[in-house]
Amino acid sequence: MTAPLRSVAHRFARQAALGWTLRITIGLPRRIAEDRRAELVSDLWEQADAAARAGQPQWRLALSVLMRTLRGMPADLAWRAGVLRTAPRTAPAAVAVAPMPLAAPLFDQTNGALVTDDMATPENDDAARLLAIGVAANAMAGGWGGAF
Amino acid sequence: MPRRAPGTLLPLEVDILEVGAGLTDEGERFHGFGLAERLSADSRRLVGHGTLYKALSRMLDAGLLEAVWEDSAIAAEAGRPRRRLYAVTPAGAAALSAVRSGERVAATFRPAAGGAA
Repeated sequence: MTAPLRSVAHRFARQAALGWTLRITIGLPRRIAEDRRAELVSDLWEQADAAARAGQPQWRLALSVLMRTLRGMPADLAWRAGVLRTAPRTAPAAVAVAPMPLAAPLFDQTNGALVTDDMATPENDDAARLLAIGVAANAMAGGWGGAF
Repeated sequence: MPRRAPGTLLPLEVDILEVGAGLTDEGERFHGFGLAERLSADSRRLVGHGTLYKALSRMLDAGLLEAVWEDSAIAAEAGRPRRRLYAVTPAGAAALSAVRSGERVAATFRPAAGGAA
């Protein structure tokens, strides 16, 4: 099995998903947070791999990742609230408001070399197609993150 | 998202048990994205990350599923991140049977808040 290739759009979508998950797991018990993050890293890799094997366009993969992230946000927040109800916090809540673009690379490092995104020259022009959705995702992440 | 009545499963949880039970019967464990793919076979729309993993977390807490992390060596050899592998427990199979027969599953389903296994 080979590592999936990533377009700019896919990297962006992936970082949005990782950044969001970092946000909603900050301050949770370590094992729960790490499990959730690692599970998302695995999920994103598997989806990219499946898309590559199916010959799916990268922009479609990116859109799917973003939409999965957006659709899951209410459940993520409910899940986080449920965990916080039953477990003590392990970090200050203020950490959770770190901007997603800064938080996502930190998340990558905590999960190993498999998410070492670089900032390569754009090889596709599909990033613009997803920019509006991505900005919306970021805005939502920022808006809700501040409530933690 | 539908509000849960005590002793009942949400539609997504029933779907997860349906898909998972088939795989577990074949001796296979399943991972999150593989499950999402199978769940979306008809709609072609993958379930949201949060929706899926919240449901899996809830079902783990309820004892309907069990999960183990794949051995690192296996994942490294395959060149991918470790998978968290799930299987339907006997309690999960019983809950599914109860749903299929139109019963409530209070005897086997013990709702718990939030935490993941």
